[in-house]
Amino acid sequence: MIPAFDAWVLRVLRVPPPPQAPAGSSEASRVLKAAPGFFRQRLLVWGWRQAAALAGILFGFAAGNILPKELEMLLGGPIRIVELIALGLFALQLALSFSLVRLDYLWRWYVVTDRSLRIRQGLFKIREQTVSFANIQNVGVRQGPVQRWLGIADLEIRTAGGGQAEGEGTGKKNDFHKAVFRGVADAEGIRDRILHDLRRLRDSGLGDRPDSADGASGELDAARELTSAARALRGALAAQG
Amino acid sequence: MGDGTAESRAESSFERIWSLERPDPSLWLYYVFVSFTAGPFFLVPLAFLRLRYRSIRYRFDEEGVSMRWGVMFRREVHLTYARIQDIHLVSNAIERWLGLARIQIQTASGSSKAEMTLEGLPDFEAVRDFLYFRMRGLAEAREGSVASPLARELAAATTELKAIRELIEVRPKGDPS
Repeated sequence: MIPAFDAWVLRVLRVPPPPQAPAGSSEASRVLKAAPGFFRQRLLVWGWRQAAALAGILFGFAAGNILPKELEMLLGGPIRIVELIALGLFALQLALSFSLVRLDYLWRWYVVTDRSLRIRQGLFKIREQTVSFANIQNVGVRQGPVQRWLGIADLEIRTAGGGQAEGEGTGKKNDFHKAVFRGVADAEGIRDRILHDLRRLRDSGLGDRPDSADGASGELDAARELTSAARALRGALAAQG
Repeated sequence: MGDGTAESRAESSFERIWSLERPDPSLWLYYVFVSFTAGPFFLVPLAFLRLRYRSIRYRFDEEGVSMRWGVMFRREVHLTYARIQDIHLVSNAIERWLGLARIQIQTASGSSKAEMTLEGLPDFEAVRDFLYFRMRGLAEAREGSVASPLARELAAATTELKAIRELIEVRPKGDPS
């Protein structure tokens, strides 16, 4: 029943298929997913909200019972009906929102190649972000107490550019210069891998054309050849007398 | 990248992008939907968005992409491919029903908003890959083993010196001419 419902949601929301790997050598491409701990974290938040909503509805029930007799005669019926409708809607959205939390966890990809990364997330609003390693400014890991307990962490990757308006820390605002691997199990491992690949790109950050390691050594080789050719020319001239 | 055929396929799908100029008509449909979210005042955003839709022009050239829009207040933005920092492909459910998505392009400027948002391009994935192939860290990789200009110049000087040496060596000894 759940797969059928999932398929229906994905069809109605026109969710596109999983993302393609961005450029980079195909054997180095790795597709990462959020860890099960991330689902548990989201479930905790969801459960907390649902409990609060249920408490509100039950409070409404209780308030209906302590009305004065005259008001009870007048409003008791309508209040009961409204409360029953509220309970019904609550049960309905309980199933729906649980399914959305689950789908949001499942439909989330972090693709890493040896020179770029791509993050795809969202169900209603889908955001697919692509960052090339040459543009990465810094890489960091963020972990809260709940995340530590669940064994997950957020890996944050920043590119140049600022202007974080509001919501520092919450990460709710669109900060376009940041890519976050939310709720991954092995944040340190991914970070080390990215940093390892970053080291090969000797120039990172701003500027036009970075000198790749290959290009620089090619220039050095060409210069050495030039020197040896010049020496040979001098030798030939000296032999001529 | 490795796979040459995949890349040439990508290159051929890029051919159409050079001629992209106007947004797709479905963008107007999307703007109509957006306007109706304003409720009874829908005519105000509708007129505004109509002008925007009518006036959007894109231009993709060798160096960068430019976009201009506006009738009374005109704006034009030009981005160089090499300066692109991040590319986001964003879509909401309505846009996906209409087959649309927005490509948000950021440079390293101080704003947290996108410097340019390409709207209403039905080939959004191809355009994204097109931009992406030309941004830093990938354009160089695509050129692969092609030597840098400096290395090319050094190699040319080396060939010249070798040629001079050969000229000297073929000349008989003591011949001043």
